[in-house]
Amino acid sequence: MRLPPFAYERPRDLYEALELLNTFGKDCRVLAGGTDLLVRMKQGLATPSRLISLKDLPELATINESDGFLNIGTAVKLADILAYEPIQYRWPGLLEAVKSVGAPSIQHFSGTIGGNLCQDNRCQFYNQSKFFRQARQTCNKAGGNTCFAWKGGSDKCHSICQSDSAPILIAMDARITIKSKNESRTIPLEELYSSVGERPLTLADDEMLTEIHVPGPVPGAGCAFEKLTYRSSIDYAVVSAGAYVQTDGSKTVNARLIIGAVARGPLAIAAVEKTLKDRTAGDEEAIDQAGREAMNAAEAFIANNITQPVEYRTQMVSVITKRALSRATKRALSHTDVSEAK
Amino acid sequence: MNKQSLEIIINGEKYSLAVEPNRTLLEMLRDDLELTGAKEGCGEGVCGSCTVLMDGKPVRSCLTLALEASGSHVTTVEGLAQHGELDPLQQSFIDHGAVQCGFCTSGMLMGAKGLLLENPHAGAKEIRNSLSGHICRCTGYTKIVEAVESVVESSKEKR
Repeated sequence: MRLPPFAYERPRDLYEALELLNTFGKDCRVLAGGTDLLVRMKQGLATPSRLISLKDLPELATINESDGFLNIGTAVKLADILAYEPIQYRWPGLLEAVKSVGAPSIQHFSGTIGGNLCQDNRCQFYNQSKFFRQARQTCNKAGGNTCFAWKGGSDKCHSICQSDSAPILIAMDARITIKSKNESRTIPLEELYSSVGERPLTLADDEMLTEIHVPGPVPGAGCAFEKLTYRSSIDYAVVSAGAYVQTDGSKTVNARLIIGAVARGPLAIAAVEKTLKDRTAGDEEAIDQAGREAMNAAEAFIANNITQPVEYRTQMVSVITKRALSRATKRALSHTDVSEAK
Repeated sequence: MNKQSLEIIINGEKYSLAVEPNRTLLEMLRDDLELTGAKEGCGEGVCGSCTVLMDGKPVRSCLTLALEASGSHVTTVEGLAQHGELDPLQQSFIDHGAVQCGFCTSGMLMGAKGLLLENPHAGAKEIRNSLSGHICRCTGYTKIVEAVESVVESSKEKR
């Protein structure tokens, strides 16, 4: 498969990159690892006339800790996150999520954290070759007006957000810095996602995600990421879940659960916090109930957009939720003093 | 589209080339330099048969722009054998019957080489994990993992 023609820019600093974005807007796209963008370009799903490479911008490829936050540049390779030692015991949930992306030879040189968060939504009827798509009408996401993933059709696009790092990072309350030529803003990560299938990110055409800020671990809190796939690598998630549980040593005081791969954006299940709050941490009945609630909340969003049946995915939301919450709780109870945890 | 220049070291040899921006590293290797060891299977990063080493790390050359590889050291399967002698991995693949149709082999070798450069004492689990993004449609996985394991074992014996 050949790539369509485009112009290639390799800015020497961030300002030059942002200026290019400002000048060319939606005609150009930022190229980080390329494992999402280049595939879509080969399939004719993305047609930028210009690519801006982040290869020469080392300022976007650093990991550091300051003011209690882990700061990860947008162009940091997934393999570099795995190799960053403190993540092993301080952010194990993030480690699980990053490890589960693609395969080692995609994580190593190519895949970046910013690219994982900013990847386009997917659907089994959309992410296909031109030849495949020609057999049907054009769907909402491709600029037409129908949806094959929704029973009876729909005027909205029902593609899904397949980022593995988004659910866990949102559960951990991560923030992101977005820059354009004239502006810089730091917002909660969940605000990056619009829940609009046709245009899943809230980034303006001249904006770029530049940094992710992950809060450091709190004593008595734990997080975990769970992903269901048919094969151990390459596969996109059937269902994924990021869980954050905070305890006072015996009771749950705070909990967040984000389900991935079922809705147009990462799906926050608000009911889970109410259910687990003030209950004994690790109480099986409470976690069972949280699983049912997540399933009920997610059911309304699940469309026929990946090959696995809708009914199966709905049931699995409950299972994956319970696994993620149980492991996060276990970590919360064993990490009562983070400074000593190693 | 205008060609842009790039400097690259492939299998220890320096090249100064001019390529179009939409040329992938794989197309450049195969079509311009006639290094046809790396194969195009899926062309979208799913199968692993186009894997080459870039600065010692395995990458999908079908999803890497040639221009993005500028300034790097690239090793393809052609660069594994040194001074007319097969790399221990290549010899082990032959000895274990780890090659069936052969299409995935160069990718498997480069994936395994990348792992052993990073961790010469990798265990079976790590080998399976690092080759997990490589598809062998002949399903010869067991022999492939055994071949890599045997290289790890014999390097231990030598020490």
